[in-house]
Amino acid sequence: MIERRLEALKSDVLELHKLAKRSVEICLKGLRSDDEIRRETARIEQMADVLNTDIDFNCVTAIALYQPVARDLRFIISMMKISSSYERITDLTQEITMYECSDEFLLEKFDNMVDTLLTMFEVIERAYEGDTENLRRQLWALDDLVDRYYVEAMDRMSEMSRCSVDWIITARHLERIGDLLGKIGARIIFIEEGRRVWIK
Amino acid sequence: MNAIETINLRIWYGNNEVIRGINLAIPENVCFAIMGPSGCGKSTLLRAFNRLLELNEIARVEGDVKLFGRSVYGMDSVEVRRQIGMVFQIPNPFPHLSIYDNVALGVRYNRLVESKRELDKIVEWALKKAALWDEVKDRLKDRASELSGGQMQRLCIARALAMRPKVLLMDEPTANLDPISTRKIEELIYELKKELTIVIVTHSPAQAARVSDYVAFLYLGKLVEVGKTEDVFENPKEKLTEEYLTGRMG
Repeated sequence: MIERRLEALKSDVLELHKLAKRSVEICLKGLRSDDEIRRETARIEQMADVLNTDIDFNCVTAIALYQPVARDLRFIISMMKISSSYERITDLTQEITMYECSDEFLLEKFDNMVDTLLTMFEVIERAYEGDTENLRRQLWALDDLVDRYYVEAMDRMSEMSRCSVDWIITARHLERIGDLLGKIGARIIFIEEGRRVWIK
Repeated sequence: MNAIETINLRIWYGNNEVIRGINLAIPENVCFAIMGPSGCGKSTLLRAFNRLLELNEIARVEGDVKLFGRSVYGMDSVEVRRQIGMVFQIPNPFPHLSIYDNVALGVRYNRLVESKRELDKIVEWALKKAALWDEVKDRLKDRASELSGGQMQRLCIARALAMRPKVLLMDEPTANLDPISTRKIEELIYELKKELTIVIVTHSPAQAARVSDYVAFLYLGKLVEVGKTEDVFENPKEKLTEEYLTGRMG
């Protein structure tokens, strides 16, 4: 009985993972004034909100009905947190698409950040399939890379005579998405190994 | 110092070895739960602690059980059972005796008091400790058989407490009780462990999680895992424990 609920939860979280990944993948097109992309990220954000609420409800129901323990408990609690992180990622990307940026250097740094974030998504996908070896080390290294691009972008902005606050927020949001993906990775390690680890 | 310690404890019923070399240390002033599937040896282990097993003619024990560092086999069995009280799955008050006499009986029998006034005090104290006083203080002369199942079980706890034990063994004390009575007993365990050590046998993992500080998991007479309750329930080290807790065993 509980196995079916856990499978359904995992399936919903994987769906949310896809939505969040897609929103990160396209968000810079919005920053380059693509209105269709802006509409798509808004749709994704709404879908993620609904899915996150469903996951939250299903987790609470599973806890109430089955009083899970051990791996089941770690899985359910982690699914709630992971789901919230994905939902937050879609909030951040939707906000990014509402801004505009034409500075080539910054756009290149933002592209670098997004590429690295997408690699983080792929590492997490493999972890969902059971490959958690080196997960922490890989995510840590990738998040370091995101942070490095963030610092380069911020350095560039500090040298500009006129800098939009939107660009600062964009850089900050992309850096924050890296942190959220690190937290998701830490939660997967908690599910699989019962260890509480810190990935930045 | 540990309240109870077993050293390579082995128990047979006839030729059937039901406890297979268990080494266990139960700290003082905690609630220690022993859980496991039916037939794993939980109740047998509990009965070895207070030498109740000796009353079973086909039972044979090897190894040792220590009560606060002293081997229970070097002590008088009556003294062992005075220091280790026990509550059973089915409430077993003396039905023909009054509520008062049920609590007073052991104290009188062991001559632990010298006056009626002293006895009254102990009965009141024990009934209060068992969270039953308010419900029965005006009907102490009523027969115990007139109480509800949950009240009877608390009366049995009061009867055990009146002997001022250092350890209280509880063998599935809520197995036959409704959720409200179960909750009262569990709250009682929480209060009592401040003053004595409680060892509870349960095959409800949920109850073990709710009431205990430490938990041991037994399977086929062997100790599979023991640890702090939160550790065992969140991240059991042994696959068998995980399978039992998550209901995937067998």
